[in-house]
Parts: sequence; C-alpha cells; structure tokens
Amino acid sequence: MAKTDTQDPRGYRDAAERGDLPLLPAERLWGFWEFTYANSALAIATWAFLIGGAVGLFVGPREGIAAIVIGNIIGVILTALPTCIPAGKYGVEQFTALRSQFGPNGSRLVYFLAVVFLTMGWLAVLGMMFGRSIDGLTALVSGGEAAPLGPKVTVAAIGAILLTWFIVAKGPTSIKFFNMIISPALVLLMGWMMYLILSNHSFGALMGMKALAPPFEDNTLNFIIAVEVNLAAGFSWWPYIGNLGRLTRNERTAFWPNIIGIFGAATLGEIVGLLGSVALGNSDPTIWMAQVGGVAVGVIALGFVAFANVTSMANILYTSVVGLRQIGTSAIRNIRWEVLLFGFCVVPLILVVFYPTMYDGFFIFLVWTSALNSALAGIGIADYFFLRRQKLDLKGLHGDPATSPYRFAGGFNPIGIVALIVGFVVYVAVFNPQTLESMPAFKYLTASLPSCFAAGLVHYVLTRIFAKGEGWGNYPRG
Amino acid sequence: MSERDNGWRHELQRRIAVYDEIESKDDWRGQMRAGDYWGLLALTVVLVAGFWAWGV
Repeated sequence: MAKTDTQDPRGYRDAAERGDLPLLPAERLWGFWEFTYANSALAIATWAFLIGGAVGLFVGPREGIAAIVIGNIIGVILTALPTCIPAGKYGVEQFTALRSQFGPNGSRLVYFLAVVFLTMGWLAVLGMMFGRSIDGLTALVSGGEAAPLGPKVTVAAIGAILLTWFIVAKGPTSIKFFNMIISPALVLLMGWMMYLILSNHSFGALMGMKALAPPFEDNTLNFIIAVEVNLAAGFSWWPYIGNLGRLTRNERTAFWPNIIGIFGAATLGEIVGLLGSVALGNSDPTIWMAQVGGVAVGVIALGFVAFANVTSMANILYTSVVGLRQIGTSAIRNIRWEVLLFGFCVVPLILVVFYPTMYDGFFIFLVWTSALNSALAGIGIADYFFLRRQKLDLKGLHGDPATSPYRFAGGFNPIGIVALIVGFVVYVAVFNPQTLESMPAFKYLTASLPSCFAAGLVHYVLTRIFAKGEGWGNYPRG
Repeated sequence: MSERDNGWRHELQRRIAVYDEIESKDDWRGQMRAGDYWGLLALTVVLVAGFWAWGV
C-alpha cells in the first residue's frame, strides 16, 4: 500500500486520484462528454496513421474500412467491459482491481507483461516515426531522397526519445499543454489529409483500389488478418482505459464514451491512414504525407506529425511510469522520478539503434500484444461479471496483502496465470503473428476472439473447481 | 502503528463505508442495466454485419 504523507482531506483526495485509495462518487468529476474528449485525445494520435497504413498492405480501402470498423468495435467493447465498468462503479485503480483476478504479485507481473513491453515498443516505433518524419521533411526541403534506414533517422529517433524523457521529467503540466494543442490540431490535419486525398481521387475510384502488398492469394484470409490487426488495436487500450474510467461518475459514463472517443476517433484516424497509404502507394505515413500535396504541405504535415509523436510518447511514458510506481515495491518508488523515466527509455533507445526495421513491421509487434491483451480481457469478463457478479471487496483490494482474501498463493493466483497462458497459447496456435501462418479456423474466428474465450472459460471453470479455501479470492457461492 | 498509518486506515475505512452504504441501499446511480447490454450487443451486431456485407 502506498501511503500519502499527509492527513488532511485534500491529501487523501490526491492520494485517491493517484490510485492509492478508491475515489468516491462525489470526487469523480468527469461526465459523459469530458470522458469522451479525454478518450478522443488519447485515440487521436499518430499511431492511427500507422495502423491504417498497415491495413492497406493486406486489403484495399473498401475491405480495409470494414476491417477497421469490425475489429475496433469488437476489440474496444471487450476491453472496456472488464476495465471501465468496475472502475466506474468503485473508482478503483485498474491494477489494484486486478488483484482480485491475479493476486497482488500477479497484478505486478501482468503490469510488466502488458504495460511495460507495450509502452517500450510504442516508444521505439513512435521515435522512429519522428526520425522518419524529420528525414522526409529535410529531403523535401533540400530536394534530396529520404533514407528511412539512414543515420539521420536514428539520431532523430534518439533525440525524440530523449526529448520525451525531458518533457515527462518536467511533470504533467507540460504534457497537458502539448495535449491541448496537439489533439485538436491532429483532427484538423486528418480532415486536411482526407480533403487532399479526395481532391485527387473520387470516392468510387478510391474504393476500387487494390491492397499494397497482400501476403496471400486468398482474399478472405487477407481480410481476416486486417480484422485481426484492428482487433489488436482495440485490445491494445486494455492497459490504459480503466484508469481513465475511474475518473468518471458511474458505470455508464465510464463505458459509453469509449464508443465515441476510442472507437470513433481511432477509426477516423485509421481510415485516413488507410486511404492515404493506398492512394499514394506507400504504407508509411511519413512517405505518403510528403507526396500528398506538394513541398509546402509535406513540410507542414511532417513537421507537425513529428512533434505529435512526441506528445503521444509523453502520454504513454507518463501513464506507464505513474502506474509502475503505483504497483511497484518500495524499492521502485524510492528511485528518483527522472532516473526511473530514463530506465524506461533504455530499451526503446536500444531498439531504434539496433532494430530500426521494427517500424516497417510494427503491426507484428501490435498483433503480439493482442495475444496477451485479448486473454486478459477474457479473464476480466469471466471474473468480474460471471464469477464475482460485479462485486469487489474494497478492503481486500487495498488492505494488508498478507490477510487479504485476494492473497491466493504467495500473492499469485495460479488459476489466473494458467488462464492467461492458455489464452496466449491458443492465440499463437491459431495465428502466428511473426510468420502470419494460421490454422483454418482463423478465417472464421480470428485469433483474438478464441484467445479471449479460452482464457475466460479456463479461468471460470478452474475457479469454480479449485478456488475454495480462505484467501482464494472470496468468490460468492451458490 | 504510527499516527499516519492510523489516519490512513481510518480514511480507507471511511471510503469503504460510503460504498457499503450504496451497496446496502442498492443506490448505484448510472449503473449499466440490461438495456445497456442489449443496446451494446445490437450496436455491435449492426456494425459488424453491416460493414461485413458492405466491405467483403
């Protein structure tokens, strides 16, 4: 338990906002539209262009738009149900609530698997996107050729990660300032890009275009892979949205804005990325933006995208390190803020130097994360809705772990861990993100949905059979 | 146990009591009801089936 140093009411409220205590309904200030705006600001980011461009590799715009809508709506809903609804009801920090499924140490393990790896991967990819934007911009100005794997990109990517570290080290005020400018401006940029694309191609002509690099002759298989990429995008919100949902007033305001904010905004950005990539023949937004409207437009768009990346990077770095201090041991909390932040940046720095091709296959990394996130969503739904019937023991979640009903075995719930492993194995057996090889069932079921279902079913059945003793989750009986 | 620990425990207890009272009165405002879940299911089915039919 992380304790505040103060005993005044404001101090406790601050501690509750940080996640140390449950927020009371009266302390939660976000209504429907506030949460919708916050969600949209999170979803409208440069990664939407990247994901849309990746979809364009597999399918043309018509199938791509369908895949974006289908994958995102299912992914976002299955992610928001087990995260935002308990958060909206009890105001509990997401990884504190997760103790009811995995135990206090199991929750820490899940944090490292789901948040640390995901954030480090995205920091590297967005850093490279910054580097390529700067490289494309200077090539446009000088009239030379862009070199996506050249030293200039690497140096700029390193600079972006270090700049992000500097901004976040300064604290949340500087991040808020960037967010207020960048999010609305990204909406304008998306509208502008859409206008430029539609000025050069009729809607009918766009819808008739072909995919850039379909990996298989079977169009249905290519389409399902595109759906899978978007399911992965939807499930990738799992580590983040619960802790936003807890700032809302109730379950409904914690859940429904995700449909407009996360689903709507991400879908819009991805569609722009898809149309731009297919219309201009390159899935990399830093390439097609340089070509869409001439030198002046290219320079403005690339310059803007470069710094929008830093904002996205700052958001995820800040959220992840705050979470790390929340779930971490006292040794982690005692590390200085700047040092902990820098420690988080080391792996992304190594990736941009030694694995720059990660950017071109970033969707492989994204799909790998779904093998974990889809299983986590399935376990959360089975645990909260079916096993606990939507009731949590707040004292057990926040009290002494040694006597908590959620202590399980040494702070780990082996049932939750086994279910997570089963979900992961099912995913990789159905669809291998590295090679894109799949079982025949993949064409009908995708991989995220069987993984989500299998993990939830295993968690439910094993809990019903084995989780009976004291300290084994206090599941309701009868 | 220090004064700070006592204060913290008291505050946690106070917050839990607020939720216990809501639970005892079943006064969960803005709770997701059956209509929300049916609406959610309908929205998903319409979007998935509609875009599948349009795009594939």
